[in-house]
Amino acid sequence: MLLAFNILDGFQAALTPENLALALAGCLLGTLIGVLPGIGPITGVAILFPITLTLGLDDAATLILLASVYYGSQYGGSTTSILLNVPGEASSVVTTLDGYQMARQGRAGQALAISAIGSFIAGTASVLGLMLFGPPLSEVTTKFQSPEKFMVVILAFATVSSLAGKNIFKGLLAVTFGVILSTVGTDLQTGVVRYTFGELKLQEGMDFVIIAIGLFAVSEVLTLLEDTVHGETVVFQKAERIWVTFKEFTFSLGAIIRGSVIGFFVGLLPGTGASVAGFMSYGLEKRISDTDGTFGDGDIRGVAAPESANNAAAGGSLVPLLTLGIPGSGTTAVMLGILISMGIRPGSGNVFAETPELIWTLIASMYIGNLVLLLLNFPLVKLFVKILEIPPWFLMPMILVISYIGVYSVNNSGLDITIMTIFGVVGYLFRKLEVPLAPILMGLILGDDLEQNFRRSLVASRGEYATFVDGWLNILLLLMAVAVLFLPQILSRIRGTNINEEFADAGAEV
Amino acid sequence: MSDETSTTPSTTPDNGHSSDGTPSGAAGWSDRVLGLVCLAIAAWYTAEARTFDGTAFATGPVGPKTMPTGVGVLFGLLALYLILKPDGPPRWPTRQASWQIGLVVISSYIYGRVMEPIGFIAASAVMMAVIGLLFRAPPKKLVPLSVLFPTLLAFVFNNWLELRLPAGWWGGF
Repeated sequence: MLLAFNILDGFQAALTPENLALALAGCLLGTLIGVLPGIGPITGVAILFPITLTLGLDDAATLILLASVYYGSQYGGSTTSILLNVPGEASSVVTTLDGYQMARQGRAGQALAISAIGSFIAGTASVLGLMLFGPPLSEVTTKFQSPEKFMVVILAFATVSSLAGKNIFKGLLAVTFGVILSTVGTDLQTGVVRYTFGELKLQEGMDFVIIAIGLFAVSEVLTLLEDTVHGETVVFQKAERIWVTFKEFTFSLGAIIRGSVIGFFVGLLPGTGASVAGFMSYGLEKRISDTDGTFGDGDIRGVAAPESANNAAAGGSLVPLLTLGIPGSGTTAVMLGILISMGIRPGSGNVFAETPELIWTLIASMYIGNLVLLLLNFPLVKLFVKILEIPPWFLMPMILVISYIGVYSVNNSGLDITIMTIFGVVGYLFRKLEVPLAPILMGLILGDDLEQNFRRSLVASRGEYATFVDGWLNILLLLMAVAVLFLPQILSRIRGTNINEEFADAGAEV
Repeated sequence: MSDETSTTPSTTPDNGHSSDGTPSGAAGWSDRVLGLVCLAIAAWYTAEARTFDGTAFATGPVGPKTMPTGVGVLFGLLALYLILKPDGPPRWPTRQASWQIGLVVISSYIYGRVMEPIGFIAASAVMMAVIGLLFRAPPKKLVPLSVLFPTLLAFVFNNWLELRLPAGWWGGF
């Protein structure tokens, strides 16, 4: 009963007129960002976070706004999957298969509608799941000592590296690079200044917002620039009216429910984000329902299943995120960074018990975000599609200028803009070389935790390194980390099927 | 990194890329260069780590040098792996695109240097105009937009939000 009380509290907090307005604004903004070519949810959340801080909102309101942006941008990504055959992010790759076909047949409206309805139902299911699984799992963290906390960070690193796609070593390289960045600045325990090149401003360390905007936003602009120069353009289908008949809805309901359940449980597992959920539910739905061979030719269930699944997975992945501090995707990695900068450190403490107001408000606001999106997108999709007509010569500098403001607002320092630019180039080169970017961010965000727990553990054990594999919990966490890293590789060696390549491709986008 | 699929469906795989098996000869040079750069960083980082001295503060068995040393060595090993087992070459931009990307990067760098002295509006307007010109934007639209957009942003942030953008030459609001 305590659970119900908390979520109701969360709704109460989220449903004040001010917060509701923020949710609405966030969803709108998020959808706009999601629809913008080349600008994914990570960039959206990273750019908007520092700007959100200039609004002078309290923590709960900030979380509501950013959660709505996150949800909105995901939905915007689905919109472009359907109308343009261009997935906004990895999780909506599979939606293009039937969604774009439907759009070509003039049924874009139904595809968009079922996507919104499916997402809403899945969102509802995953909030229920989160209420059930979140608090008890979070209890476990109270048993954690420093060695366990160290191992949890290792598991988070393994997880985010495994999302890297084809070459796991590039994921590990990226995460290590991130840890290297995290050691810049003053060592809190001894006051020793490390790797600052004598620059006074670096003594406080690297700010993850600046690095995130550089790695994601600036490098996205550079990639976009390259595509524009190379003359790669897209053709989009029109959606006249967003609607779905009751018959079509009941026809898709099975797919939505199955998608929601699969999505949530896939999301629960660390290391399998929304993209995997989308592929799995599409594969399963095809096996169950595709009796007439219509999947791939614009079957509405082929849109309903993955769209429900990726939304449910986004909810499910909040469980490892909020209990252990393990993010399931690049965007949730940014969300984790934001939570940590607010002093909420999942995995290091029981956040459901320590800061229930914020956590339940966040969960409630994600749910409200679903509802807002459902209502918002039906009338506004035409407007969103207009965004695609912004010419690149205005779009690119616009994103840059907004990024500059975001970065500048962190410390009011021009040096930060230089650092951002450098990381923009790094991000662009890494994209080219298929080195994933999200792990760099994770390494930077959690590097300090890693070191502090490493040192505390060794203080407690008087320098005995065996303390890290002492106790079943440690060994379990270590085994999980190894499994997360190498199991997908081994499985794909054994099976050697096509879908693994697709997974890898999708993973590379995270 | 959502945009790699989104804007360039064709840039992904298949230009001689093989995920396992070492591409021979020149094919893997991109990754090798990355590996070498990372190896150099690792060497410098690890060497630097050895100079940190935390003994003045009694902090237990592990001081400020231990983890950077370990991380540096790991980074070096991963870099070595990349040199020995590189992936196939990525699709690099054409010469024209490289030039334009370079110009945008340089203007972004200069922007960071001059934004505080000359002000947000002036710096942003110049940068938007430069990028616009690179893309042959119609000047009739480009010039007013380059001035109006930063002005609008400066107005919103300075008046309604808790941020003061550098005023510089043209003054703020």
